[in-house]
Amino acid sequence: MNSQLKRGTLEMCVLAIVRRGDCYGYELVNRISACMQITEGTIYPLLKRLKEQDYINSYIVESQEGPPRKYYTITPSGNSAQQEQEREWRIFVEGIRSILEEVSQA
Amino acid sequence: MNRESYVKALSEELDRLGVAAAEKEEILGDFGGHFEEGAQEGLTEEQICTKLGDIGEIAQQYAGEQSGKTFMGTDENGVSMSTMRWESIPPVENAQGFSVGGLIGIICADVFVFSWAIPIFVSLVASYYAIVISFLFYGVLMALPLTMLSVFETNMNPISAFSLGVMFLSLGGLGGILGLKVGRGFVWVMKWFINLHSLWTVGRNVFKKNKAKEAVS
Repeated sequence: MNSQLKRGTLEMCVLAIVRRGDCYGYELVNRISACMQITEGTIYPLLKRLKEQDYINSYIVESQEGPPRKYYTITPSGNSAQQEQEREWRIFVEGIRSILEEVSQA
Repeated sequence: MNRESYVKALSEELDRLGVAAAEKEEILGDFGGHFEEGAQEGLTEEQICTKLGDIGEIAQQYAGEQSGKTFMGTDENGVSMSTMRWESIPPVENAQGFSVGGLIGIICADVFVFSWAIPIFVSLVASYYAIVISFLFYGVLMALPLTMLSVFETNMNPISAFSLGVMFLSLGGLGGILGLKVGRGFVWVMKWFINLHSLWTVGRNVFKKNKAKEAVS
């Protein structure tokens, strides 16, 4: 997949997943890489950027069997940003779909 | 590549791109955690490295967050133009020789500047200094009772004349100190403006010859 297209949409995916429920970095990476091919390491800078934008927050949870996990949770502004992104995305996709259909029918 | 060499290479790359130490610590912690989790799932270090991907790309994304200063004033953090250095005028691209576009641009700038910007600027600075000097002069006259009596021949009592004089002197002194800053700013602007001419036409910085050559080559 085109890397530039992916970079733009990855942020939206991360925000959408975190909005559904708190999760830690590795879990997040796995969920995304299960659906599409990504360079896993780039999720971490993305998470940091989202945190700096105050869209998400993080907290540490100690675990018995493994290392302490850094969980990410959505903030109110992240919540509204995600809703807005999703709305725009659906309009965008719908637009592309109708163009492609129009072209293939012609 | 194993965990150790991956983390080490990432650390070095972050250093190279100027990521702050505290931030780097946190980043390496995130990746350390990733390796731990992967190992628990039964992946080898090599597999995890491969899936994590290109170190250069990752480090670049971290570094990309840090704001670079933009030309003409403020950066993302609102750092003002006063911190900008006059050497930072960007040279015209590929300005190896003489640039006609640059010449036309600079002529337009000159018409603008010489017609009113410089006269106004100079008169503002000059009147500022005139006010400061008059405060200092008046302060000295007032603070010295003998002179005060002979010059003004008022009935003001010497103590209040003296305190008025001290007040004028301190105001003048304060203005003078500020005036030094104003003077330095004036020199800064003049240098900047002169430099603009050489940069836009022949692509060279007249005040920093070596630096400019590096930038051009």
